[in-house]
Amino acid sequence: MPTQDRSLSGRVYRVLLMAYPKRFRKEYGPPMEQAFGDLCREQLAGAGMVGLLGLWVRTLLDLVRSACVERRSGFSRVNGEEATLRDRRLARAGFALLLAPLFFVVASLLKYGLGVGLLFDPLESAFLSDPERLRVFNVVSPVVFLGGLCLALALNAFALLRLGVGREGSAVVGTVRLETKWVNVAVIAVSFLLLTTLVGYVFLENFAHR
Amino acid sequence: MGEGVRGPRSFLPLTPAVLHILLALADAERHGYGIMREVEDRTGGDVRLGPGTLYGAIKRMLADGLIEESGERPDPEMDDQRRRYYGITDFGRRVAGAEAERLAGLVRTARAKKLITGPRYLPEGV
Repeated sequence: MPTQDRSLSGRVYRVLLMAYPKRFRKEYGPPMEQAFGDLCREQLAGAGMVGLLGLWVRTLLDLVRSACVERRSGFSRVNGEEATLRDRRLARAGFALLLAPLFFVVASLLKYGLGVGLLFDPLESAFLSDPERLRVFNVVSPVVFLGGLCLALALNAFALLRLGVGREGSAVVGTVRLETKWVNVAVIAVSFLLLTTLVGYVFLENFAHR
Repeated sequence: MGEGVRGPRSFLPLTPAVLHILLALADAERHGYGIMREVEDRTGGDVRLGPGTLYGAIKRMLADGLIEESGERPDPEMDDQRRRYYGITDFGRRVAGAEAERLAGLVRTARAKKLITGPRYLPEGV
């Protein structure tokens, strides 16, 4: 029975280690599991199930506290390589989210500004000419276009902005650091431009006097 | 890493976990569970390091050059090969010494102000 309890505790603890950042878990997960297994054995031998229960309470508190510390240090500590990789991933995701609205806006501008239907005509024949497809397009497009642009903006703003809260004497002080990462800035600029264009278009179509 | 960039005093005050780990490693190389046991035994159960706190501190102490992972195993025949042993570095020893001096200064001040008077806190020979 004690061996079963120990191995069950070990399995549960292994799952709970998911609370730590991946890199930390990969490096220190196995020795942490081993140390916890040793503690379980010691408690079961010395105080039985009561001891094991006490160990679990202490370990859970320790896990919550230390996982928060590791996750926070992962964000605040400037790990240059990791931060650059993450920001590039965010820029790529933002760029992917931009593609659909960018295509729509460019196609519309070419069609209605210059009379070039090269991009808009296939779109029109695929979605806008059939009533059923038009209905789906009208429902899906605001989500894809506006939602995608807002998400691209938010993700890349997260890459550029570093927010901090600290104490200075009795005052709570908030800080905002703006980093210049040009790929993320470019995604934000294009997202903002497209968002302005689409919102402006929606406004003109629905509210402006004709 | 820590020695080249920062002096021992720049690490002070140490967190309780870091100081206890340095004290545990001051006289012998130990693995994680060994450190936990030594700390608990030495403090009479007042301080118990959990695995998360222990290995979080170990990660930072390795990066700061206060401890190092040991390649040698005290008794390979008797031990699990997966265990990692850690030892204190010379720099870690100097940092621990500086922290001990800082704490001793605080104790002297507390004694001078009669905040601690019991025999347990009196200097040896008094």
